[in-house]
Amino acid sequence: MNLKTNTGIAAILLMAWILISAHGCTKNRPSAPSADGYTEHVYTPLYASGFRILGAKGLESTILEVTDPWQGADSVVRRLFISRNGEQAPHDGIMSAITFPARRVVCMSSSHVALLDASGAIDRIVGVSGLDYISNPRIQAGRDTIGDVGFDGNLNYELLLSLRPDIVLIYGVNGASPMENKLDELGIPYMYIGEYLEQSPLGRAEWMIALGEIAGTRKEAEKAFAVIPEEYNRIRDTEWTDTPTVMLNTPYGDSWFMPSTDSYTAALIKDAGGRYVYSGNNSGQSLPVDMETAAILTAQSQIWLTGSQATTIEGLHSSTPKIRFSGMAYNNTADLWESGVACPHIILKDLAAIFHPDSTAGINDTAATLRYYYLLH
Amino acid sequence: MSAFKLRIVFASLIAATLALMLLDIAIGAVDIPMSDVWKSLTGGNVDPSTSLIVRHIRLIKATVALLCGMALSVSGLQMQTLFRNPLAGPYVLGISSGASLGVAIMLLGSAWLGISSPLGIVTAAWIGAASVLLAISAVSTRIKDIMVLLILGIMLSSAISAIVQMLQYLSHEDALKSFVIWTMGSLGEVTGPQLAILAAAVSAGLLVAIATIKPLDILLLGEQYARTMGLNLRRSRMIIILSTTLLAGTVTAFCGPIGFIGLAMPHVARAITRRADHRVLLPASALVGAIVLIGCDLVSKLLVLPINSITALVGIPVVIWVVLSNKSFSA
Repeated sequence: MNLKTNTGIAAILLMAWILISAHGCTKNRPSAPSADGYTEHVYTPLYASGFRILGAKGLESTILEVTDPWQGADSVVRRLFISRNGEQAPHDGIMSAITFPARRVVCMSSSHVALLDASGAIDRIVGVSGLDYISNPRIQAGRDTIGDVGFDGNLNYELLLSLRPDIVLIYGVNGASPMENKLDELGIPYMYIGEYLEQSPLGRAEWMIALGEIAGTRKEAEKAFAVIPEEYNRIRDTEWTDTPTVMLNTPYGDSWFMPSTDSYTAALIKDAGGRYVYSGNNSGQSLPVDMETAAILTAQSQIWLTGSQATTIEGLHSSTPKIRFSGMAYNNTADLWESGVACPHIILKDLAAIFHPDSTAGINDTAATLRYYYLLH
Repeated sequence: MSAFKLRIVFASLIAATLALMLLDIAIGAVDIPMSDVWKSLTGGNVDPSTSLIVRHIRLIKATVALLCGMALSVSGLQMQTLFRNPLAGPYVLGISSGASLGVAIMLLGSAWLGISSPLGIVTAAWIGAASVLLAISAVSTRIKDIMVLLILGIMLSSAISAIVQMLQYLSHEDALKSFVIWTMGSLGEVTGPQLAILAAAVSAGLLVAIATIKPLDILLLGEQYARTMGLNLRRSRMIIILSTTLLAGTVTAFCGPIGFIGLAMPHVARAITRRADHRVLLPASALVGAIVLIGCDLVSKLLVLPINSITALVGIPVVIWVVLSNKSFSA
């Protein structure tokens, strides 16, 4: 072995050492689960699969337990200890601890804002990520007092700290949030909210109960949620005379992303009595299809939910010049992905009204009073 | 430039570095009176949250800017001399591409590879950069002409970019946003323990860089001449690559790819000192790099924009000036 290779190996070893130490210092949190005493089921969701609320005999505190909080997570569990009565957090198995209830909350996702609003705790929000992109009227009305902490990966920690949050609600994309280490260092409690991973529309909305538990409004949240499945299932169980075929999205350049058949949107289409036109993707994530396939799929569809920048039919045609479509095209508001998360029954009502305009069975809304969609004309 | 003038230049550079450091610590999103900033730094009696902001956010960030500015500028200087190319920079060997591939696989690819990464972004970036270093070292032992290494570095970068593009194309928009924000660089995500590692790696890299001062001076005369002077070319090359990897690789792992500092600041150092020997250029580049990156951090804080867009807007005029004033480039 010559000197050159030795230097190379030395460099690799040095890098490996740095790597190991860098990794080591991210693991300063005990990971062995031993919040063992907390076995009482305070709240077990009916539709959501990502969270549950646990309690212990003789204690008033609870643990919000979130399972697999990001895509691809395998048996990852994160627990938030919500202390009542001055009770101490268990020594290990806990990611963060807060004192009940959280009065100052920072939301890293607009859906967290919607879920907190639905659970009756919108006034707890002191900071958000991307203030300009939040539709919630209460947040927009309070713009002057609500801090914008910037985006995941390039956060204004100084501003975040000055908001004195009791908790920061974060999310993970394909892995732990890059904010974890810094929040640990600054001593700010945080919790993963993984509602976006729920493919069931009702499951996604049920997370309002988890957020209510954090904000101290769980009872209100449970009450608010209870009417949603009733209304949702009533529309879903309606017998429709027709099943229109539905196209989704518009292309970026020449790649047209089509959601999986088991996705949130596909579930809503099916429950509203429509048929999602593309059955070729059951991978669990959106995949691009080529323009020829997309052109055929669009031509086969009666309804097109564009989800695009175009707000008029001319705009839609000029952005997709090679597509021929003779049905009805609807776009959605950005609020579909915000307050819509907490109102799947209203989305379903919208879709049923769009899919079955001639039928009024169980649907009070007409196409003129849609909340999340509007006709392109 | 006389030795006396040079001393004045260095004294001013050091003074400017310290002044900007203090300014960077004094200014931020939250208004904190200077007296409280000073008390927080010296351990005086202040509100705990003020002390937390000054010591754990501002001080760490300013120190990160100092270290990264020095590291990038010095490795840029080394690469410019090694490749005898004024437009070479720390990323010419493909270190940032390697790091970005690591991060892209972690952020964008896990759904495709069916694995959930237990590693953080820093670790993923390190693995990527180390893999590229391994490939480059393996090749550099086999080649005679340094230009081959330059071409291979660029080809490797392009191939990696192609893979990263594929991952981007297929990934979800949230993941895409996380990745794109990573590529814009950030000095503020480094924690206290991470800063210790960053400082250790950058110090080690700078020490190795000091050891390369003489070979770098000889390399200025051309590889043929250096060989006849008795310089062990391949060995020097390896040590220079090692130093650059420690410097630029660590910075990229912790802060993302920060552009233009490494490419542009050595030229500023040359213009200020009007010297070509690395005994002067290396510390001057380090100081100029630190001053400019701390300055960029201040601007990026005031405008609330990512650091990379600021360094590019500061760096690009310098690069244009280099190209225009270089007789072999201009008409």
